[in-house]
Amino acid sequence: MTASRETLMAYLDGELSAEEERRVAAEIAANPLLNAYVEEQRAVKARLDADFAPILSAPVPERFERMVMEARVPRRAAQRNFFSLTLPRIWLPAGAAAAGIAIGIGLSNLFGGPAMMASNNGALIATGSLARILSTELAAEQGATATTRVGLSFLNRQEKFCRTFQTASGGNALAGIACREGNDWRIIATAASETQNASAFQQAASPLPKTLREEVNDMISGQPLNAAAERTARTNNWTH
Amino acid sequence: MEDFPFPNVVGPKMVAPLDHDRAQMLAFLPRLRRFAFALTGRAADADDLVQDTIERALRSLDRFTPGTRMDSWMFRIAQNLWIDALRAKKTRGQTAGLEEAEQVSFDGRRAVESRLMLSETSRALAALPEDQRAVVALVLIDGLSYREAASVLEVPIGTVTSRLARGREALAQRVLGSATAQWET
Repeated sequence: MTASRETLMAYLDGELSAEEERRVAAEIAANPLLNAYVEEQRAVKARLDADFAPILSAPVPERFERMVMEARVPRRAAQRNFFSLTLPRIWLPAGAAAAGIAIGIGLSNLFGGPAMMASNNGALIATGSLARILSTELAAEQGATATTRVGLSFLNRQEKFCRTFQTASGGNALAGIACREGNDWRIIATAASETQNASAFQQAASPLPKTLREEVNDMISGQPLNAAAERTARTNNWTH
Repeated sequence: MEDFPFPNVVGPKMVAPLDHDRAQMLAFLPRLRRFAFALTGRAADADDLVQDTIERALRSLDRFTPGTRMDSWMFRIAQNLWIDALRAKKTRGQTAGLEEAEQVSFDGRRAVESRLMLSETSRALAALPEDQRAVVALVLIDGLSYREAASVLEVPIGTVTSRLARGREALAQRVLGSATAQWET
């Protein structure tokens, strides 16, 4: 049976399972018409990438950064507001250069410690101790005093390894999902952890906030990794 | 820790500590600009759309559910604002399509000088119907999955794939003079 146009598109866009992908790739290799379609679409995508890449890497106009940084933000009703009133005030210089710093400073200020996340071409990626822990630690091996805990590891539909984590510093607790992208851990979503204080958090593993559990359910392909699979994934640097 | 960590910068302006949602928003701005340019095809319109999107997002931040995707949420806001603006233009009797002669390059130079710089592919994208253009922008340019694009546009996944198929084949046809563009199973 020849692959349909929808299947070829799904193949091009990484929407097929690994097995389907292998099967379709073989069909394409054997069929010049399918191959021509795929090559054309790759050429179109390459041109789009070339046209739009400069915009992604161009510096963001300062006025947009200032809008975000200086806004008075409406307080959420009946939801725990993530950042605590006990955080020290910080001074930020105005200017486009501040944006890259602002994210690092803003986030490090939330944690009262070194920055754990940074912006890279429109993506939030883990840095510092968070990046190291995502790459090297497993839930089964972490001790009770770990301030950054790893939770589940799983594969998403694009066959990338993703991990949940919870971290706490200075009384503020954050839970999140990160997925492997090249050598980075890209932060997909975060939420305030449901644990109210850091010492209770350290004593027992907290449940992941409901919104993140739902996100994991939407993202996951198959079942979470068991301990052996996690060890293997770690050995392979969380890539295939 | 010192009060002011940048002693060599003159005239610091004190701003509030950045909460996590706004940090995510800041990180997202380059992708938002790219999306706006893919939709509008013009630098000035793109920046207007970015500004309107940021304003709307900041005003609605109390309705953003933490732990859900900030990017999908902001793409949705941008897409809706763009559609609203197009409808308003049509109502006022202005041309909905982009005249090639009016397109300026991203850095704002005049159309005549920049026609050589604006690629065939960008012009082809600008000529697509809006629903196809939005899907191409989300899936082919930003790289969202079909499911994420469907969530942004609030349509079924099947709608995403059919608009995507038509959009990308129209691009192939126009840009490559494709012979296989009229794909039949």
